[in-house]
Amino acid sequence: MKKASSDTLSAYLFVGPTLSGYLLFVLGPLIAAIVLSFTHYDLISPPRLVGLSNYARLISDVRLAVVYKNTALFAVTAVILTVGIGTLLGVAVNKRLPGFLKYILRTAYFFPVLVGMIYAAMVWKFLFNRDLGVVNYYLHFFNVPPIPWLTSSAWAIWSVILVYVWKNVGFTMLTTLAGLQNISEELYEAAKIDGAKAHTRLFRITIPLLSPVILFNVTITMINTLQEFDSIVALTNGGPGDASRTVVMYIYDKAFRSFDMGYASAIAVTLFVVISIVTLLQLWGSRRWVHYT
Amino acid sequence: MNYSPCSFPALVSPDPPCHLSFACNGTATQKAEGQFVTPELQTPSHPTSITALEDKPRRRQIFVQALPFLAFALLVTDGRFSAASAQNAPSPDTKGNLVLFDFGDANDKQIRDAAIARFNKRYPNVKVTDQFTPISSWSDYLNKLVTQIASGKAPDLIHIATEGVQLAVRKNLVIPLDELTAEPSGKELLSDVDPALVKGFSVEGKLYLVPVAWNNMMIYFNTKVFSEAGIARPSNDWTWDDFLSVAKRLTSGEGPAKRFGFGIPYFNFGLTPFWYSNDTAVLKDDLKQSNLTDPKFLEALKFVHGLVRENGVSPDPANTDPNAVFQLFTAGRIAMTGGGHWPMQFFKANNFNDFDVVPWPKNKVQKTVFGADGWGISTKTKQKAIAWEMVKELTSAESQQQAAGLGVAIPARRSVAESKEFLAQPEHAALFYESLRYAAPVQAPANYAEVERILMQHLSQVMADEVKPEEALKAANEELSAAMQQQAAEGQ
Repeated sequence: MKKASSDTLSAYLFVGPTLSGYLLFVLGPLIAAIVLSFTHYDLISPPRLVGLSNYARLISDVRLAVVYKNTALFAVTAVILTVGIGTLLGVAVNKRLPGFLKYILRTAYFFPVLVGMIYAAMVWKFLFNRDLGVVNYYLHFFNVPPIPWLTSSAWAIWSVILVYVWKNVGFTMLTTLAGLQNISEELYEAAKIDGAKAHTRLFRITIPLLSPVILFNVTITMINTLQEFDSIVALTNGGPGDASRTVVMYIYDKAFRSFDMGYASAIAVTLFVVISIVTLLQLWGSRRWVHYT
Repeated sequence: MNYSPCSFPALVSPDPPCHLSFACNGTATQKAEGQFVTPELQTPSHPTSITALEDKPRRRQIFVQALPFLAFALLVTDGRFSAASAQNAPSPDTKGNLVLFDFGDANDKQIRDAAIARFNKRYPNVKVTDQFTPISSWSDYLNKLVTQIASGKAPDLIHIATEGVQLAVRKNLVIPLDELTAEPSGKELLSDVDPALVKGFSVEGKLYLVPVAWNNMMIYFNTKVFSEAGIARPSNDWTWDDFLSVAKRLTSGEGPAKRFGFGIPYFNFGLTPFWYSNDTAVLKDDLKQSNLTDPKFLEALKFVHGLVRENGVSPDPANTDPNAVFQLFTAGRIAMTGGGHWPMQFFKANNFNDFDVVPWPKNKVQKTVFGADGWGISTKTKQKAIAWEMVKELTSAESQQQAAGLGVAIPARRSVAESKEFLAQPEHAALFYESLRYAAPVQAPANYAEVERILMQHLSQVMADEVKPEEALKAANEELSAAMQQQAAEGQ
């Protein structure tokens, strides 16, 4: 009995730091945001209850639809590219390459992960400048006219996605490599004996056994992309117009530029609901394609 | 308007504006070599002082008459001659803590540290904490201030700019200073400052901040490029047509090797002189209604758009970093750009000296923009008297003189703006202070950040050639009008 209560105490002590952090930095702000969403609050004057009027504003806000569309496009495309390319890179650098080349490639692909997003974005901003940037400088030699990477609605969101994928694909590669280390070599040997070709081994052994890692990458990348902020602020500041503005940037604008905390909180609550639904759908859908060994 | 400082003869003036002090325009004055000297060693340079020196018997008489004042001055100021040596100043034994909400870079930090050190010599028991906040834009800075106050940690002194005055007053963040500036030592703080700067910090006739520095917008040009192109320095009253003609001549090369005539300072403050010089603005004069339907605004916007598109004299203003244009200017990729005094620190750091300034070109009127920064006292402070002493030190001539040569901003005090250090570079540096003659403050209603956001967001679509200027202004006008109406409703 004594042992059991001692174990319970230990368990609480182990869970304690994480739980207190969760209560303080996740649950607390979440409850605060929900409460604030029913108020008018400008940060200085005390909050004033306004009922559901902030939620009523959501319906007629045309900009909100635009920023949600951008966020969805950014999230879906970035997830597909980051996880797809990252997984392929992981498989590629896991091959029997010469030692030095293996490490050089792994380091090269992983290096952007180590660089702060804001620094990387500032460099890319210079590279992408239409008239003075390095990218258009080299494209000029191939008779490509100057591309308005960051200043055209058609290009801005794709440029932002490109930078995001460049920055984060190394992390996906790394987790994929870790996952590949756990796949027994015997499975491949047996498959080879049975006459399975490379692509068969990839789709029948590697990918199914990597599926938990892929699920992890998809979930993490999806959550990160739905919350992406710093790179877009540095690259395009959401422009031109709202062409590359995401929901998080819109929340920031409303909260800290318009001092409209109540409405910003209402938008934040919608984002919370969207992220929750997307995550639950991913977990539910994963039962069909994720294989745990 | 006469801004002549009263120096030595102030002592014998029947009604000295700053008695007990040798120089009404500051604490210590400077020699030609730029060294600080104690007032007794100072060589008066003011014409009235020279007259006094030539009249030796009278000078001796004056000196004898002045001796008791001098002795008293030395006694009360502990040998220092600070503008902060106020009447009714708190006791030197005063204890307390002062928190400053401040912005700037490493240079500003040095200046502030020196002011705090001087203050602590007078008030050794007052601990001063300078909360330096990195600044990317005025909007963000104000947001941080408001957020900090909302969290219950209101500072005692607040360093803000024109862009934040209306918001600060409306939100009751700063106290009126008129009572304090009515004191002799308070009067001294403003006696050497252009009235335009004082007015810029006044709301409904009450002064809320003591100006310390300000910035405007001028045209910077690369003297080397001009010389190579055989173009003379433009005249001070040049026009948009002259400007465009020069920009076209300076634009050369093709593709990646292209050099552009003008780099647009692509931020709200930087673009404002284009509106102002066409006798228009984003808001009407009352700062309560949108003015974007003004045909003169459309004309100005088309001119800016034309610099990039029709005329090709400016690169696409893609970079949202306002300093990027100065980097390109330094690199010789653009021959002219717009800026206040702040790019000077960047030029100095890069050892770039081939530049000079010329006033903003005029179209309908000659008019540029200015924005000042100053120190105010928080309504939340419980140490008003000691906070006021700190304000005096932060805005003193010493502080401004220290900043004069750094290329951060234009000093609020005319005497410092006329000092050798400030005028050392560029050749026409005197034009900075002179611009107050035709400059107007940046329009900064309480919802400044929102106004800026609306303008720049719609402008970005025009500059990207995706929306016609007429349509963009129509949409911007609708959004801005709604924002101003909401602002008015909240203010009631």
